[in-house]
Amino acid sequence: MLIDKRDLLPGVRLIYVNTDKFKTGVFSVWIKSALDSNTAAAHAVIPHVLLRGSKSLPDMEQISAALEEMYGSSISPINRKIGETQYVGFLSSFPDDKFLPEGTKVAAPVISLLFDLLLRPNTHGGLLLQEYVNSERDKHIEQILSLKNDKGAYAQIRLLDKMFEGEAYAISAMGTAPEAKSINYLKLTKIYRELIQTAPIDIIYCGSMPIDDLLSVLTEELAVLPRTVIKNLPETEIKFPSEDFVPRTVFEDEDTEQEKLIVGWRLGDYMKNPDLASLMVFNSVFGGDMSSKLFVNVREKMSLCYNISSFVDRFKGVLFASCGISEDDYDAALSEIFNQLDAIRRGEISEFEMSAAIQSCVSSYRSVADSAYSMQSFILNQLASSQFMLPLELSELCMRVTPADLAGIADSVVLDTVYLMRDNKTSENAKDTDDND
Amino acid sequence: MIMIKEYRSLGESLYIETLDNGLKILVSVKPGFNSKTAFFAVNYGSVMQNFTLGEKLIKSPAGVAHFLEHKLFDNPDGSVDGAFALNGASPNAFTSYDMTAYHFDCTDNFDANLSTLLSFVMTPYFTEESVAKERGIIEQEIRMWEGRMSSVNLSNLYSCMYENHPVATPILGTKQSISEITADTLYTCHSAFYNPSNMALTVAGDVDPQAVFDAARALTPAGFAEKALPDYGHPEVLAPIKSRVTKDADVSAPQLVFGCKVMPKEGSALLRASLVSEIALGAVFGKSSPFYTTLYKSGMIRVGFSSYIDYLPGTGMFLAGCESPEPDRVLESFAQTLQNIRENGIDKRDLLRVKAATYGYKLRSLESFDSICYDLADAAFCGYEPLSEFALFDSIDSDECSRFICDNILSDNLAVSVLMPKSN
Repeated sequence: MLIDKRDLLPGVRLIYVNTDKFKTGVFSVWIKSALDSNTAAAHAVIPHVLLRGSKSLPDMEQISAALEEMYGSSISPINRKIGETQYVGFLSSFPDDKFLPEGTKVAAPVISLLFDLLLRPNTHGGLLLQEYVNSERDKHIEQILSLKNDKGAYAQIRLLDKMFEGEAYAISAMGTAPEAKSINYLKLTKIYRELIQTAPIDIIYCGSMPIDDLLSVLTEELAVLPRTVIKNLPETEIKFPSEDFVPRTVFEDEDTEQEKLIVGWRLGDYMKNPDLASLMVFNSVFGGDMSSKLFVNVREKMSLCYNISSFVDRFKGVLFASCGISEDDYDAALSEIFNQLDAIRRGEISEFEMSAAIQSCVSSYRSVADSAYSMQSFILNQLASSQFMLPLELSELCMRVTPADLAGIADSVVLDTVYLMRDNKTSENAKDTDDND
Repeated sequence: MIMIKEYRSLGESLYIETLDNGLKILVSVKPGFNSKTAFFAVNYGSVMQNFTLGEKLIKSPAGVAHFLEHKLFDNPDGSVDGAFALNGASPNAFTSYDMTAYHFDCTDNFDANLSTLLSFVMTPYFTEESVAKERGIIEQEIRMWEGRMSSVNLSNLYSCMYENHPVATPILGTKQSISEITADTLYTCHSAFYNPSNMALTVAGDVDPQAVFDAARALTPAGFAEKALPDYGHPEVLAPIKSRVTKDADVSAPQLVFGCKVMPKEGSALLRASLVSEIALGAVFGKSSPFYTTLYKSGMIRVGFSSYIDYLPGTGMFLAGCESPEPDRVLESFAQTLQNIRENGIDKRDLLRVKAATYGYKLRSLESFDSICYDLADAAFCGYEPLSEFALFDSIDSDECSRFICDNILSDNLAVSVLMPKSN
């Protein structure tokens, strides 16, 4: 597998991964901007509006039909948040030409179609069509409102709101409903133009096309990309809690069948010189796997929950643990989560736990190179990091992580927020009982 | 005898063997890949609640197949998770209506992980204490699903569609039904269904197929055991028992699911019907269809409209659904589209295009090791030749697809379930 990195235009870089191992090729364009509550929803809506029609394929039927003809290739809108940066654009995937009938080629045409949608939208008088903008805006608003339908994911959003109040990290990549409501075709056209003129762009390709063929497609397509002064992206702000910081506890009542408990910590001074491999192994020992302390103790030994897991966001320097419980088990579950973190802090990590966690991380890095999707997702995260490393380099670093490294991380971790989403039906019942008393 | 099948146009090769004890083994060899996946699957799912073993009729509580799946991870030395974890494997399992499967992914130590998989699935070890403990975990899993509105809506629809078939009972069972499950129930069901002749081992990765066959021969019991015969209840008529249910729920916009029963199928007929239905529904209700684009543009469909046919033991079903501010307008447009197909058939050009797209989707699904292992196990249980669907594309035309829709999806047979947002 050959990886090549090169700059194509000011602020536009290509990461090219050449392999003939896969049946699927992937090509993605990631347009980056600082997460901002004034533009997050607009940025999120732009790819959806662009997918409604281009100059050459002005309607969605034609676009869908063109993709179907190209053996079910896909071009999907993307919107991700990494640290405090928003990434929007398109992700396309297509069957590798060698598996299609003799002479059929879809990779290059799909890439051209992607740029057609991105750079030559269906406009009227130079403005994005009002009909498309309004329709996609309204759908986006509904999608924001529907986040409540999945209570586990919604609890995570509510925790972020509380824990990161005043920080860009609290902003959802979807933005808010009020911001989305303010979108109109005039405003969105302005934001779209500014984005493609000034935003840094990462392009990732993973597939069997020779680089010269890809470069010739890109040179032609990017000729119409207008570039002015490229914006600098602010670094994700990492907060170091002061010594007198008092952790928050937040209870909220929702119509949920199951109570959702989420705990958020900051990684503290460890983030002054963090090590990715150690963080991955730490998460695996704490709650990242089925052999982790949280899974084995809170679920298997104490039977308090069905799902429990932890997650580290290395870009922001934060750790989360979440589970679905009965409200009666809140104290028991919370104190066991703390106990397990304390155990790591004291270095109480068995040989089995250490070995299982390292093996799990090694295995997940070794399998990255087995799919074009996981390869491009890995590369995207590496591009956002200060140091670009390959999966095999990372898997070797994981093998050198020691229990002392993990104890060091746990020792630096500072509790920030405990969030519990309670069932408002039970809560109301409880209140009624109190009133009757 | 080992059978080797090469599919050059797909870049696939399969090694197939059936052991003397009846275990079917299918290995998809993937040179140059680090990942390796193994599935040990049982032709046993939640709908096989009632069954005959020998002369005896056994009625088990709802949710046993799933409960068993959880509890098999215990063995006399503790949990098998540890053995997998030490060899870098992430094990998991699932129970569906018609299959229970135990699987792992790893990059190293495949042979050791395969031995762990084969041994633990064939070694039942249950105590009343451990069963009682698991109940707490499964109760939380039930509550988690009860909070997922798409699952609630589907369950409401099934209760309109089915009178006798156990598909209307939740896979996990209920809090009440799992309270009736004891260690004995689990032993009985394990011995009834976990016979090698009722199971399949499927593997994908850069592995030595002979080593897989040898391991399976060494670690599964020799000899055929008597097969349990499931009873799916009195055969259903195609009409629903109730045509519509509407309930209030904590959803942001109305959620619509609807469907009808279709005649069950088996073997190669099932494979063909599944492929024909996928192409036909793609052409009529897919993303480039006038049905979808018109509703999408008018805001009647928000994100997507899904429609598919699913065949289960003893039944088949057509299901469709979406989120819509006005579910009745979607249903109206659906009925008009059906009428149009009845009168004019499916356009030949639309069909050609959707056929190419479906071929691409199927080809690319061969990239996922999990998906290959699942498909190979499904082929073994349903009795069709694996990967044979690719050869069917050329012979499928718009007449067959139109006929399929007209014969199977009848407006009068449809049942509808809607979840409406609570007024507050």
